[in-house]
Amino acid sequence: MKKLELRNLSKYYGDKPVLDGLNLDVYEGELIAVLGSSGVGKSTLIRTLAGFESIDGGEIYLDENLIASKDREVLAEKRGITIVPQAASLFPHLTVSQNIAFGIDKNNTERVSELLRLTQLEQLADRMPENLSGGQQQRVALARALAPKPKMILLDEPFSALDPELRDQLRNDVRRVIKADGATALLVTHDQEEALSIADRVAVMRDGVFAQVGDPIEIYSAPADVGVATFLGDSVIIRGEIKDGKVITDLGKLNPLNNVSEGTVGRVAIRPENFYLQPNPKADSFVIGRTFFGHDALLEVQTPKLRIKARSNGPFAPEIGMPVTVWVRGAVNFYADGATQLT
Amino acid sequence: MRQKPPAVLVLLAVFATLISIIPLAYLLFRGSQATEQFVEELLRPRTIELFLNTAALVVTVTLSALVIGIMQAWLVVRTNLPFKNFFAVAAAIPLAMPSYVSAFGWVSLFPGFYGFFPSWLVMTLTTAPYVYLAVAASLVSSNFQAEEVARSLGKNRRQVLTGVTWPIIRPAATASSLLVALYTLSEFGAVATLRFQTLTIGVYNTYKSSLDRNAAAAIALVLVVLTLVILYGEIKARGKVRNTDPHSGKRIRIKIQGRYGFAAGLTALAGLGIGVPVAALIRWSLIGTSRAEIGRLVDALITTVWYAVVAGAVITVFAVAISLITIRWKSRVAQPVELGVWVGHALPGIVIALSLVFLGANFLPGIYQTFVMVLIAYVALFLPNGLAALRNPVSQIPVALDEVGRSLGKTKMQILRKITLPIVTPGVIASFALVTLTVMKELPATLLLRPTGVDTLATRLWSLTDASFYAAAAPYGLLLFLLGGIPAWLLNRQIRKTLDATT
Repeated sequence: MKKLELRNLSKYYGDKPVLDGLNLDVYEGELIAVLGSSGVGKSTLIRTLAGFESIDGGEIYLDENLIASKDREVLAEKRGITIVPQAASLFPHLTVSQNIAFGIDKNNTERVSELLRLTQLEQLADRMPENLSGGQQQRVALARALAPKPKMILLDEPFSALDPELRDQLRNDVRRVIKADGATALLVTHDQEEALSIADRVAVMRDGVFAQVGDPIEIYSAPADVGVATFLGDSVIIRGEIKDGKVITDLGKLNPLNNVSEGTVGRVAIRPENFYLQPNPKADSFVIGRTFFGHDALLEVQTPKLRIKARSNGPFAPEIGMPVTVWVRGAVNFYADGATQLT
Repeated sequence: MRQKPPAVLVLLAVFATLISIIPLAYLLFRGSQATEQFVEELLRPRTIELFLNTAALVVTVTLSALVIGIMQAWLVVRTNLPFKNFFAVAAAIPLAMPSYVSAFGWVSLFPGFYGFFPSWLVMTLTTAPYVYLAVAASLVSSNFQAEEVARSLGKNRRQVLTGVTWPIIRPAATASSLLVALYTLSEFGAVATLRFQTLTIGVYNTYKSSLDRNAAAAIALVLVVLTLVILYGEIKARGKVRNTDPHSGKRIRIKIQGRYGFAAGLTALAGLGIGVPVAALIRWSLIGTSRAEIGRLVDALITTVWYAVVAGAVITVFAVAISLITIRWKSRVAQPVELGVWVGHALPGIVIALSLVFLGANFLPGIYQTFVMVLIAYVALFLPNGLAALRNPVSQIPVALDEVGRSLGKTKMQILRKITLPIVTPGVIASFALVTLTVMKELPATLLLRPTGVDTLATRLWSLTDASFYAAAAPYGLLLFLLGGIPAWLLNRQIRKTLDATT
C-alpha cells in the first residue's frame, strides 16, 4: 500500500531550484534511503515532508491525502510525520523516559517501556540527556519519534555525528527497531555504504531530482548512468564501441548487461572488485602499485593502453612488478554517449 | 600536587575580602549591641510602610521586567519580526542610561510625575534589558531543532512554547529576574528623584535628619535581610542549566501574526526607555547653563574620572589576585574569598556607605570623609564586576606553561610576572575598563562618603535635580550617559552575539 507519494515536488531558494520536480512512492512498512552528496537538497526534502518548510510546486500525499501543495499545507503538528534530527536534539530538561513520552499520552507507560526495551535503553530510563553518549542520544531520539506510532518517520543523517564503529552498530539497531515497530521510514544520508546496507530501496538524489530509485543491489550493480556508478563506489571508466552485440574495449570484448544498439560508442563502468588478475609471465600488463588493507588490497595495474584499479584478496594479491592478465568478471554496464538513461 | 599560590596574591585577596565583608560585619555587630532599640525601630509604622513600599516595587518591577525582557528576546531571536537588528540594539540600549538619569528625564519633562507608578515604570524600563540579554543568549545558544521535533510530535505553537522553549530559557529568566530584584531593592537615585519612599530612601533620610545612627542602621538591616532572601531564592530557583546540542542547519524563524503590531509595541518601549530621557537631556541642555555651573561641571568631570580611574586600577589589582588564586591555583582560601566579595556586591550601596560612615566616624577619623573611604566602598561594591571580566582569560591559561617555566628554572614570582600576567593582559584591560565605567555612575555611596564640598557628576546631578534646576542638571546627565553608557555598550559582547544571531 502506498504510504507517501511525491508528485513533481519543487522547492526554490530564490531562483535556484533545490527540489526540481521529485517523484517518489514509498510503501507501507518500507525503509527507504535518499542518498546524495551534501548540498543536494536532502535536508530540504526532509523539512518539506515534515512541514517545517513550504513547497513551491507539486504535491505531497500521505495515505492518499494531500498534505502539501503550493496553496495547501497541513501543519507540521497535524501530519503524523515525526523526525529524528541530525543532532539528536533531545529535550535537555526531560529524562530519557520523558523524552520518549513527549508525543504521547502521559499515562501510556506501556508504550514507553516497549520502546525502552526495543532500543535497549531500559537501564537509562531516568538519565538526563546530557549524561548520555552520542549513540544513546540517537536511540532515544529514534524511540521518541516512534512513540506516537506515526504514519511515517524521517531520519536526517542520524549517524553522521558518530564515530565509525558506533555507526555500524547503531545502523543495524535502527533498522531492527524500525522493522520491529512496523514503521514506514525515510532516511537521508550522504554515505553510500549506509544507504545500501540499511535500506529496502535507495533513491539516488542529484541536482534536486532522483537519478535512480531501486533496491540496493540493483543500484550498485546496474547504475543508471556513469554519474550514479561513480557516486556509489569506485569505478573504472573506459571507452568502448558495440560490435556484434559485444563491447569492444582496450581490455578486450566485454558482455553488455543492458540493451545496446549496434555501432554506438560510449563508456563502460567496471567496479574494481570485478577485475580478476591472473599472474602470467607472458602478460603485457604489470602491477605498479599496491595498497594493502588486510581483508583485501587495491592494486594499480598498467595495461598497454590503460591504468586501472583492481581489488584483490588481501594475502594473495600479486606483488609490485608482477606481470598479470586482466580479466573482467561478468557483464558490464554500457552507457552510450549523449544518452541519459533513467529507470 | 597542589601548588601554593605566591603569598603576595593571598595577602591581596584576603585584604580585599576583608574590605568587602567589614561593612556587613560592623552593621551586624552594631545591631547586636543595641538589640532593643533595633527591634523598636523595626516595628515602627514608618519602617513597615517602607518595607511594604519596597516589596511592592521589587515584586512588580521584577514581574514586568521579566515579561518585557522575555518577549523582546523571543521576538528578536526567534520570529520574523521586521527590523530585528534595530530592535536587538534598542532593547539593550536602556542599559546605557543610569536609572537616576532616566528618572531625571521623566520628572523634568512631566512635572509632578512622582510616586509608585513612575518608579515602577522607570525601574522596569531600566532593568528589562538584563532579562532580555540573558534570555536572548539562552535562545541563541539553544537547539531550535528540539522545537521542530516537538511540532512533528503533534504539539502546537503554544504547547511548544510552554513545553520546550520555556524550560530551556527558564534558568536565564530566573537568574536575571532575581538580578532585577536585587537591583530594584538597592536602587537609590531613581526612586529618590521620583519621590517614592523605599527602604534605601528611608536609610538615607533617617541618617540625614537625625543624629541617631542606630535608627538608620535598623532600616539598613531590613535591606540586608531582604538581600539575603533574594539571594537564597536565586540559589533555590536557579534550576540547572542543561547543555544542549549545538544547533545545526538553517534557523527557521517563526511566522507571527501582526508582526508590524509587535514592531510598533517595541518601538513604543524604546521610546519610553531611551527616547524620553534623551529628549529631556537634549531639551534642557539646549536651554543652557550658567558660567559658574560650567566651572563646576568641569570640576565634577575631573573628580569623576579621577575617582573612577583610581578605583578601576585598585579593584583590578585585587581582582587579578583573587581570580588567580581562585581559578588558577584553586587555593583553600578561594571559597571564603569568593563568598565574601559577592556579599559586598549584593548589598545596596547605601547600606555599605552607612556602615562605613559609622566605622569611619568611630574608628578611622584619619580617613573619614576622604577619598580613601569612598575607595573602600567602591572596592566592596564593584570587585565582582572586575572578577567577571577576568574569569575567562584566567581560566584559559594553560597549566603546562607554568610547568615549562618552572622546569626552566624560574621562580613562582618570575612566572607570574613573565608568563601569567602578559597572557591575561586583555582580561586585565577589560576588567579595568568595566570597573571604571561602572564606578563613574555610582551615586549613594559617593553621596554619603565623599569629602565635603567635592562633587562627582552623579552627586551634582542628584542635588540639582532635587532642587529642580533641570537646565543646570541636564549636561551632567548627558555626560553620564555618554561617558558611562555608550562605552559600556560597546564593551558588551552579549549584545553583539545576539545581533549576529539575528542576521
